[in-house]
Amino acid sequence: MNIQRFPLTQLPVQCAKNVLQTMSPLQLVVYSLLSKKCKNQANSLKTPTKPMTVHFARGLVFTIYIQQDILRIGFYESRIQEEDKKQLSTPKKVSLAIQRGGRFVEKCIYSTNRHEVKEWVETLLFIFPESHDIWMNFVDQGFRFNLDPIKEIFPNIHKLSIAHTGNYAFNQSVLQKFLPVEDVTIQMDSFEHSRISHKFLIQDFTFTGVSVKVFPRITLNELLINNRESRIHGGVDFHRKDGTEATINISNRPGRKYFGIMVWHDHCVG
Amino acid sequence: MSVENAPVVDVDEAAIPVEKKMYYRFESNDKKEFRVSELAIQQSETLNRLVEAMGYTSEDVENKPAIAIENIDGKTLKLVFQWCEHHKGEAIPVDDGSVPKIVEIPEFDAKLMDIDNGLLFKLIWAADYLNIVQLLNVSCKKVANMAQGKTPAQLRRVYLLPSDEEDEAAKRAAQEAQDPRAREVEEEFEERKRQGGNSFF
Repeated sequence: MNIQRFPLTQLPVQCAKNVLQTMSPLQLVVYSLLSKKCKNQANSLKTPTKPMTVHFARGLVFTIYIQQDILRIGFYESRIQEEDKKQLSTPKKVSLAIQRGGRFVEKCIYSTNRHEVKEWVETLLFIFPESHDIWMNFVDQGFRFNLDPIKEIFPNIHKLSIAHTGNYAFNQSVLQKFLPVEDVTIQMDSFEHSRISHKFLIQDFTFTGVSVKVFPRITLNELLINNRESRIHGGVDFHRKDGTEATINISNRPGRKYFGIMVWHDHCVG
Repeated sequence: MSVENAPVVDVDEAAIPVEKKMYYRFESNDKKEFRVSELAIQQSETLNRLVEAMGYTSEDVENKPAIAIENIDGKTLKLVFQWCEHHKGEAIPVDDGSVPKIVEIPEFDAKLMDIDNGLLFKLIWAADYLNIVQLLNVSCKKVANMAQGKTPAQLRRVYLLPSDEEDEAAKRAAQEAQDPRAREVEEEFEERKRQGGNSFF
C-alpha cells in the first residue's frame, strides 16, 4: 500500500498544533497512542467533552460526546476472544467510529491493537480530561465480564446503570462491587423476582432511577426504605401511616411509557 | 414631463471618480515576479502591514523594484497568491479556540492543494510566515485528513513520528554530542520545562 508521508514534527509549532486541532476526535485518539509526546500534545488541546459512558454488553464500548459528535470505541465485539474479555487484557481488535446525527461518518477498525483496556482508559481520560465522571452501564450479555478487573480499571465511577445482563447473581455482584456511587439507575427485572436487597437500597445515593419492566414486584415498603435524594415533577402524592410521603408518576406517551414511585424522605424535601 | 422635454445636462466625465485597482509587485527568492491586487493582499496580515507601512502610490509600484519575499520560492508563492486572489474580499476567520476546529476545504482550495506533500509542506510554512489565517486552516486540515481511517502503525508512518524509544535515543545522542557545559544548559532547560515551561514537540 502506497502511504503518503508528511513530516509533521518539522512544521512550526503553531502549524502542527493547528493540524491536531482540525483532526477529528477519532484521529486524535489514534494519534495519542503513538508516543508520550503525542499524548501530551493531544492533552494540550483541552478538547471539551461530556463524561465517558462505558457499556458492558456482548462487547465493551466506550462513548464520549464531543461537540456534535459521538466518539465510539469498541472492544471484544466479535464472538471470539471470550477469555481475554473476562480479564480486560489486550483486545486484538478495536473499532473506532464517529457518529453524527445518527450515522457513522468515520470508522477505523484494526486487529493489531497492542494496548490493554486499562491503557486505553488512561489515554482517553488523559486526552479528554472532562470525560472523567464515568457512567457505567451493564446491559444484556454484560455478565460475561469479570468484575474484578473492571473495578481495578474503574475504581471510582460517578453513575451506574444496571439492566438485566442475563445473570441475576452477576447483577447483584455489580451492586456489591460498585455501590456506593452518586447516581444509580436499576431496571427492576435485573433482579430475581424483581427484588433488590434492602442493604443496597438503604445506601445514600444522590438519585436513583428505578425503571420498571413488565410487572414489577417491588413492594411499597422496599421503595420507602430507599434513602435517596430525588427530583420529580407532577404525579399523585400519598402518605404511609408514619407520614412518609411518596409520589406516583405515570407516563403514557408513545415511546416513553413508565410508572414511577418517588419517596420523599426528610432530606429530599428542600 | 416627457423624455423629449427633459433638460440636457452636460457631464464632465473627468470629474467622475474611477475606482482604480492597485496591484503590487512581489518577487520570490528565485526571482519570479507576481502582480497581486490590493484586495487580495488583505488576506495576508504580514503583507498587508508591509504595503501599508510602505505607502506606495501606483507610480511607486511601477517604478520601484518589486517587494522581495526572500524565504518563499516562486512555485509556492504562486499558489499563495492564487489562493489570495480567489478569496479576496472574504472575511478573515477569527479563531474562537473551539476544538475540534471545524474547517471545510472548498473545491477551489482542494484543487489548488492537489500537490505533492513537499509543496504542501512549503505552502503551510508560507501561509504561516505571511499570516494567511484561512489558507493555514485549510492546508492544516488537508494534513489532518491524512489521518483518516489510519491505524496507529499507519499513522506513525504517514507523519514520520518517532516512538518513545526513538525519542529517548535521539535525546541521548544529542546530549552525548554536546560538550559538558552545553549539557548543563540543556539539563537546566529541562528542569525549567518541568517547572512549568511549554513546548509542543
